Amino acid sequence: MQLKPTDWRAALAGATASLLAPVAPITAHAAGSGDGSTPWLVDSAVLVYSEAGGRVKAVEPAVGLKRTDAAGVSTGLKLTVDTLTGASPNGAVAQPGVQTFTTPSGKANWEASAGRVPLDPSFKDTRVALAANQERPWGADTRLGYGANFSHEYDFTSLGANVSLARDFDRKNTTLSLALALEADQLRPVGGQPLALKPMFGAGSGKTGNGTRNVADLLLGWTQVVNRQWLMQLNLGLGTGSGEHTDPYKLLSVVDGGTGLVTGSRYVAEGRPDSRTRTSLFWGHKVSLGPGVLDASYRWYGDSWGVRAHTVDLRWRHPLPGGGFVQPRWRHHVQSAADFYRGWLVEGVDWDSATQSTPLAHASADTRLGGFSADTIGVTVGWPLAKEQMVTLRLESYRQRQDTLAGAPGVLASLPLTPDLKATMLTVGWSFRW
Amino acid sequence: MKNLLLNLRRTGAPLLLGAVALLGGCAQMGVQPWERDLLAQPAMAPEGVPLHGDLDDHVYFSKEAATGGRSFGGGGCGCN
Amino acid sequence: MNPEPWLQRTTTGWRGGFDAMASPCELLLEGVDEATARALLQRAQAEALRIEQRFSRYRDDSVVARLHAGRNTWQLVDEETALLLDFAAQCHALSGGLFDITSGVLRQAWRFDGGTQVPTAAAVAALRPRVGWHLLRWQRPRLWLPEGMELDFGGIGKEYAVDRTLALLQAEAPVPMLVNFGGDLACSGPRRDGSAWQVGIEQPTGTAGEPVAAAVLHLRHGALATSGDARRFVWHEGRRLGHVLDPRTGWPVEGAPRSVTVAAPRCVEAGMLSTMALLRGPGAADWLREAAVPHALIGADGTLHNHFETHPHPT
Repeated sequence: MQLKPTDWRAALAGATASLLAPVAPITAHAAGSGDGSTPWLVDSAVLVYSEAGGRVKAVEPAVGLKRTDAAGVSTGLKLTVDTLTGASPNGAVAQPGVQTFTTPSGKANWEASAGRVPLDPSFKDTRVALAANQERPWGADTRLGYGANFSHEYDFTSLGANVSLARDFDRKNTTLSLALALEADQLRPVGGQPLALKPMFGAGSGKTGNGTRNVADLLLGWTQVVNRQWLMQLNLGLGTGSGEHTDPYKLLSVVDGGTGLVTGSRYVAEGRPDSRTRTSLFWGHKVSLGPGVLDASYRWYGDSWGVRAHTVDLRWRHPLPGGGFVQPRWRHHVQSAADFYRGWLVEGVDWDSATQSTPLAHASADTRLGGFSADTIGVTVGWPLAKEQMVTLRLESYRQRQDTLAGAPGVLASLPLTPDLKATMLTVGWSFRW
Repeated sequence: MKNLLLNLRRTGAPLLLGAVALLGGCAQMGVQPWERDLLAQPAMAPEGVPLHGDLDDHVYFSKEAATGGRSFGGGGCGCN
Repeated sequence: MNPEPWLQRTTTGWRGGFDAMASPCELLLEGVDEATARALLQRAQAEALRIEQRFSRYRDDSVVARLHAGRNTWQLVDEETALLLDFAAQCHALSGGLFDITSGVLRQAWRFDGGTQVPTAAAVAALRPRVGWHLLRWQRPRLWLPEGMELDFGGIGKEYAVDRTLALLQAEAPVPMLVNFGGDLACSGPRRDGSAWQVGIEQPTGTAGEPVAAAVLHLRHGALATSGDARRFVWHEGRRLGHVLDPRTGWPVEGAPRSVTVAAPRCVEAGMLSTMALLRGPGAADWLREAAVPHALIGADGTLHNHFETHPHPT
């Protein structure tokens, strides 16, 4: 016996106290407990996302149902609808004068304000996504999971399937998991997919038909109970996508190397590589400290397009009297630009309007592929309504600060080429048993 | 594939090694089954508030280049 | 329909009883009228029978029977069973594997009837792969019980019933009382006049006959439990083997005392301490002394060693 007898006695006294702690509640449970139908846990939430400056607004309601039966088989269903409106940058660079663009359908034109980054207002889309999954025990220590997901919007459909295996070791202190997800996407851009790195409008432009893209992802996970207060998770994600990656609605401006004004072919459709391989390493911790819980995570990301990113996410969940909680959160994300990211094409260097050709293999002015740092600051408040019913309210502010683009020629040097992206997000949630 | 391995070697590997160093203390990690009282709190669930993770994943997938983390994204959208 | 418990008046209160868990169960009460005494007695009987029905290995409708029927699958257990399994897990770890609720299966090899029938090494060896808490998976609230294994709550069932019954009755009527289920007992505190309850420890005689009180204990707080049974043993090569089996070997513990009676704040705790002492065989007395546990012990030779006076009783 490792323990001294007196320590042993104290431990036994503690174990006895735990056994005898509930007295009256047990008699109520005893009759026919542990059997009977298990209820569905329903989680519902609505996200209202709004970018400043007349940009994107989205409302996204989501509902998830989950149920675990007596044999440990858990089934989940999720439905998400998202409606998007508002304006989004199309990749063109700001100019001192008004710029006119044609909408993707080709039926209308829109104007970008002078001195401002052009924002295409023609995006209105509704997307519906459905996911179903099940996880079941397979032997004493292993769990098998499988699921499918489907997503549909006017110009894009995605169908995916996933399978996972998780195994517990050492009294479930260690869990190792392997998961594989496959996805097949169909792209049906409005007006067709523009020929990559060819003029976007007018002579020399062209469209091809629908495109496809296939993605495969592998996730290796290690979850470890460090001690009574600390849970740790390390995930390695490897992914590869092949097929159409180019955004059909985005372009680059062709500017004069001296004046910085659009010239020649003016606007050229972007072109991205046919494949993308990604690696991510996620290291997350949940630590129970005093009354609250700290959630701290770091994710490293790198891909074959040259993007490198670091994301730190910190949350502190503090209980409130009455069963609720308040959770402030700070997320910081910094990424480096993709290799082929550029703010514009320079006539005679990156683009030759006479031959409508470029020495570049790929190019994109999509700021999502650019270098930037972003901060999310917010707070979530939850409070219980009744037994196993909770309402949550989350308010967050997201701000993306783009890296300044070097070598801006001519007038571009004095224009706001990379304004910050500012967004507010409000999420209202309601969870209950059914 | 070659690019993938290069990426790992440059920045991923040192991070992995750092994490693996934790394994050195592995023998001391873990709790007895009856010591899971704190771990069983809803606040300690890896996913956090339900649906917030999915909604966040969607927002950041459409505004940033990086993906991946706690779990797979639930499915594609045309936004990236 | 359960038979009505019997009830009789005493000089200071009431004494009532019924049969449950294959034992005579007794309740001593003070400071209540007859109607309340009868109501409390019925409450005690209901609780004792409830626990027996749920956890007895002899019943087809018990939780244990259901768990045995669902071997090799993950089974959801209710809160009470979960608490008992947690307790069993902790005691298994604290005792270094000596206390093991999966050891009941060994009874198929051993018959402790005072005879000389001893199983072959092969018979015991055949049962050993089916014994071992580490072989099952207990992940609250689900249990995975492998094929061939059995759960036996007999080692803690009676003591658990005593503690729960006392707590339930005290919640209804906080008066002086003592609950005694077949020798495992607990009291709520001193009697109305401040004096202690008087409990006798049985002196086993070699022959069947009236039990004689070898010692009388004064119990002011807490509980008493006794492990061991002088009447269940086997003679083997001229030695008397007690009925307590070491789950690690499948054989009775050699040189164990015939019985150990321990006092502790709770009956469950007292029961576990007395079981642990017994499993230590010849080292029982030393271990109890080191742990400063008030106890009385009837040695392998039948002599009584009373250590209750020398240790202050924990409250």
